[in-house]
Amino acid sequence: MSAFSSDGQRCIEQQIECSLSPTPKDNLRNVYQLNRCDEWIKSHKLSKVCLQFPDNLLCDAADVVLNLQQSSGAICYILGDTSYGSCCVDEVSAEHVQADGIIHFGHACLSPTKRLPVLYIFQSKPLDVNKFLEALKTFFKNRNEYLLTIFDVSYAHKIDDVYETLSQQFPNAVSAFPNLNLKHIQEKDQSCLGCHFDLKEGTTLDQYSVLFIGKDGRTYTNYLLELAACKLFRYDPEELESAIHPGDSKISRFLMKRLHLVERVKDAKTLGILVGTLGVHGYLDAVDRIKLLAKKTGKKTYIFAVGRPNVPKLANFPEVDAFVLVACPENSLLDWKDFYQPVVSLYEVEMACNMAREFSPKYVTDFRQLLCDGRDYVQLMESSSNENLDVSLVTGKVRNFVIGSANDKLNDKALAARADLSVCLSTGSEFLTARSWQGLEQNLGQTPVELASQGRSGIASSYHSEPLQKIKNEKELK
Amino acid sequence: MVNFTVDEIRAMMDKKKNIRNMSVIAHVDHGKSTLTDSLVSKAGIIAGAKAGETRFTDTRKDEQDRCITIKSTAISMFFELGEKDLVFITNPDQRDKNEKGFLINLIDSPGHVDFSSEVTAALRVTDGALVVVDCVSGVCVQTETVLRQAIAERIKPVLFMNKMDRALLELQLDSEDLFQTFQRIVENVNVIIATYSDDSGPMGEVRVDPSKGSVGFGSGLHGWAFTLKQFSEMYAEKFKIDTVKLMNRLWGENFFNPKTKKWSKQKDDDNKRSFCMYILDPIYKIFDSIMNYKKEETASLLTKMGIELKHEDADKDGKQLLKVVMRTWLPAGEALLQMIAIHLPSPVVAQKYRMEMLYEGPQDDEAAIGIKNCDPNAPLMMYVSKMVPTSDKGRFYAFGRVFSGKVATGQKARIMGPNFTPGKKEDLYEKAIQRTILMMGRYVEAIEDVPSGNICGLVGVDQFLVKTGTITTFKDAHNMKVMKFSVSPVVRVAVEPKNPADLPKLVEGLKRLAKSDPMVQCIIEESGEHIIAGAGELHLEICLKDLEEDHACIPIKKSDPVVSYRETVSEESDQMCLSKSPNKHNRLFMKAVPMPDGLAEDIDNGDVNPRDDFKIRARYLGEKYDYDVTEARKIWCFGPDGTGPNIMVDCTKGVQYLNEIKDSVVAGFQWATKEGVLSEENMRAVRFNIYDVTLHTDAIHRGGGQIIPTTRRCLYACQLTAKPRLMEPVYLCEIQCPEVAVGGIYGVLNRRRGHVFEEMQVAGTPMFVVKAYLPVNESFGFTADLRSNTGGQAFPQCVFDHWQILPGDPTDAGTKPYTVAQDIRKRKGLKEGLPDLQQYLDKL
Repeated sequence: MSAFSSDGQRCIEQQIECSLSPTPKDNLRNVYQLNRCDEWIKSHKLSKVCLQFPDNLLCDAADVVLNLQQSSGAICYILGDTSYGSCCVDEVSAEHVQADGIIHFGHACLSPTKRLPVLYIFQSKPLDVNKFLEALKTFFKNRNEYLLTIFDVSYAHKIDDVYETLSQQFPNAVSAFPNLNLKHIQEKDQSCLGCHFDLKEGTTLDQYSVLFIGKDGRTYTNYLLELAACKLFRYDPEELESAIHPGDSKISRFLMKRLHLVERVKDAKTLGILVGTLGVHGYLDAVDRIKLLAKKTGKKTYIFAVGRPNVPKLANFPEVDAFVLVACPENSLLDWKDFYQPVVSLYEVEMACNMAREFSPKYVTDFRQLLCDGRDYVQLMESSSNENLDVSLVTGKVRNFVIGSANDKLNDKALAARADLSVCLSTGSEFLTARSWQGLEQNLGQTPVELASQGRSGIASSYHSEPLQKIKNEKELK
Repeated sequence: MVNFTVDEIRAMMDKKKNIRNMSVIAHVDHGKSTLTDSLVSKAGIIAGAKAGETRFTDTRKDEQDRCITIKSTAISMFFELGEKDLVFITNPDQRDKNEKGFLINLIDSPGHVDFSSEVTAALRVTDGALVVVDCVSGVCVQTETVLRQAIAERIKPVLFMNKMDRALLELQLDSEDLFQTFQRIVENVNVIIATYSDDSGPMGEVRVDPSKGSVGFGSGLHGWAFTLKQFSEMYAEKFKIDTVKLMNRLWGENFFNPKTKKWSKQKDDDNKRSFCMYILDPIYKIFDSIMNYKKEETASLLTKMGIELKHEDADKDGKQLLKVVMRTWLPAGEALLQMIAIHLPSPVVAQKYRMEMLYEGPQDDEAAIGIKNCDPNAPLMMYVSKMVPTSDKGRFYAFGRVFSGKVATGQKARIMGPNFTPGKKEDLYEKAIQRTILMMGRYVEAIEDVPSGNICGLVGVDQFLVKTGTITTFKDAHNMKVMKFSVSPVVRVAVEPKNPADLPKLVEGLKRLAKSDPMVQCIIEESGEHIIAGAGELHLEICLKDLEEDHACIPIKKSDPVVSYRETVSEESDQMCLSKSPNKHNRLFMKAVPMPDGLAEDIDNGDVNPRDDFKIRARYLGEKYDYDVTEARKIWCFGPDGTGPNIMVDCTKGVQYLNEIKDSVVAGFQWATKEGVLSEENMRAVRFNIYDVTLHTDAIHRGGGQIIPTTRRCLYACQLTAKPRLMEPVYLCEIQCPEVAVGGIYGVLNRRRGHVFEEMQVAGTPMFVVKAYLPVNESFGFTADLRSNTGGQAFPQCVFDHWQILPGDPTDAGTKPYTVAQDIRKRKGLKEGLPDLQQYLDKL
């Protein structure tokens, strides 16, 4: 409901996950790995560096900057309250100060960026390796089990430790590494969301049981969706009992809900493309892809860049039937329950508009995989028939897909003449003609001419002329 | 063999005065399909001996197996009427002077309430109805429902008393009792007719009257039937009296004294009711002599009546012989044909008075005039009332009636769905008609073209229509009116494929199912569930079977049936509800009030609707519901979907910029009434008053983004402060049973929250009829439960009747409505718990 009635007040009162009081100064360099930062800055010969903090670490930001400026000699800026998700690197903001590098602290989705060099500093949470192995041994009785361990980035510092002990107990275990420009990446590696891994020779992914180490949250959900073919398990080192939880059933529920959205996209005549990232590499290609898909199916598109989407912002455009959010995997699935129109991701548009795409029970949150060269790219079908009629399972009406080639007459800049020689209206303006209020009516000659008089002043929440109490009394009288 | 060819039929189609479009309607198991066989056999399509057993119009395997009609089936037949019968047709528009042939387009409809939508679709394309009543059980609930619908559509009825064989053989009624039974049924039917029409109406006299020949008697199973006309003709010569005059004498309070040869209006000791004496007595005699194996008496009777048996029938006795004798003496096909040809209207007659009920557009445009005159040279106007599956999976014949003009193979036409509005492009397609066909029960015949006044099927338009539509060649044509169903899809099941990979097939199947049934709804809910909604358990069972076997062809899992609920309020909001926009610069002040009883139903029925002239509507609301007329003039909208049974009324005075936010408020209203605050079910019977609005002076700060979500919040606050309630659908349930079983019925009904409001004995029979209201939610398994508690003697018919408030406060944990609301939330995957008023209500 928060998104529904959000206002400035709420923003100020907002409870954020701020588990700790500021980190003690003597521990600062350690926690934020400032030595690594120093090295990185020096090796890249950077002079202006932006330090990007998520909300829950902002309390330490000032200390970190002071400390780092002193030790590295570079000028540091704080980037906070990013326009999109704090898991993404905010390159655009960094460019405002013409920074030549960004250090990103805290949780990250590891979506690739392209403009600036980035250093990720994750929070290093403690992980008891022995306790973890015990839990693992009690859960997986079969020692030859094919295991793939994926670590939440906050446990990334333990990967090597864990892998070493793990591979002794479970010879078929494989570990995934976060996508950093590190030494690990090899050509045959498979990648998935923000990590990549090297499977044992002769095996395929669906033979593996996947173990995610971290909290139940958006990251885990995304893995559940992406790796629908595998059995997923989760281990949370912060839990006292440290048990291994099997992947839960809410995923199938989630996928079912998306089916409804696919149907809504099919019904939509106008799509709003919501730019939810300016940093993730390839977001413009995604926008182009949506435009192409929409054009092929006779839908009109508009592009919106509104920062973080919220209800009032999007409800300003009631002529749009559905919004498509282009954002990093962790932000592209928006809970749109309170939104006036559904907000979908590129995958739903692909499912709805790409005839060549076959139904599959998995879900792709990473839009890059759906684009050219991506893992789940499906080329558009060149259909000969230019009409494809279908019954909508939301409205129960017949709907029409116009399928033509993209560079066809459907060029939206051209005017088409209707049979009655009036200009054919686009869907957007068609919506406007259906409105009851279409603009100021002059009512010339119908209203008496009056002298200008002093109007109300102030703002609607309390005009100067009407004290609060007075209004209240009036309402009660009514 | 079939005694006509397609060419003959095609030739007849042009003689529109000699066409009769008719449907056969009745309560379930009253013998429609069996009776229809008599006509089918008269047309030579099936052998006479097989008539009554074949049920030719039950084309589906499950229809034959279950002995129940599920889909309505059309058949076109050609007959010739004898010279002496033709004189009975007096209206020049009912017969071409030189033509004695008649083309009868007959539609046999299902009797079970769950399939009433099929009846509605059949009635729309016909002009007359043969109402069949089982004379043993009399007029039943479904008889009344279908008859009422027929009258509302301006369909002229004739009556047929079926199952006389049972009355004679099983019940052994004496002739006076049987007459009384007949008399009562005729009266009952006429009461229903009189309730929904009057003789001075455009249809003229609608009542049925045995002495006019518009009531038939007989047995469909045995294949014999008569009207008073048949007997009157037999006796006319003997009495030297005019047939028509005699017909009047043979019914009602007319008694004859055989000794004095005097007629009398009163019963005396030595006279006898003419109907019993001249009609029933001979029939009783035949029954008596044959069934009691009185061979000689039988032989003498047969010669007396001039019945010659065929050689192969001579050896028969008992029931077999009875059938043959009766069928030869009083062939059912002949009596039915006469009733139909003489008493049912031709399209020329019917379309004159039906046009205003059928056409939405101006009553004087080309299409309207074409329909009115049934003019084959006017622009084409055809109404498609249903889709009939073809052997080609996923494709359908569009079945309908040509009201004006001519529809031809290859013709280019405009195909308009129910959402088409003139001047717009939505739901409009211009396509060529691939083929026109004639529906012949289980077969189809290709035909070149079909002129106005006829029923036919079209190939190649099915993909442009979901269930119904209008097909025309007239550029400015409006739609034909959509059909109003007497039942609603209130029972729902969720389906999913057993194998998840089959999901696309399921979706495809659901789309086909949505087309093939006039009423079923197939939806993907927001929760992602695939829902099929139908009229009742049987309807859903058939739909699921069709889906599994014909449309999707995959194994399917289904959930337990659930019903849909409605959200409403029971009092006026206890405070003025204020909600502020997200930017705090706009405020809305509103209240919710329950609608007065009956208004929601008026809106459902379209008696009050958004397209009415607002002044007329306001006057109506003022008179009927005591609404303030000035307020009633300012109804902003109906919702959900712009037509639903909730309204938003502007009660503000002199608010600046109000017009500007109207669209946004309406959008928020549609949203909120579609998904109520309790469990996101539709709202019902709530009137929202908007009392005051303060708005920011800058237009940018009072845009949709500020107003739409705020309206929704404010409406939710109104709902929560107005004692919200849940409404559940309730069936009207009619149960027939012998007296001993009545106790068992009460037991079952009580357990299921049902309540009996009428119990009566069917006069002249030992049967009782119990009428009760039963919540739909409690009706699952009701039939089986009832049967087991009454030793299989009670048969219920349940039809959706109304919405009823579920007593109790859904916001009070521990009440039943609370549990219901929480169950719905759980099913929809919503956050469980109570909606918090503070989220919606703001302080000043």
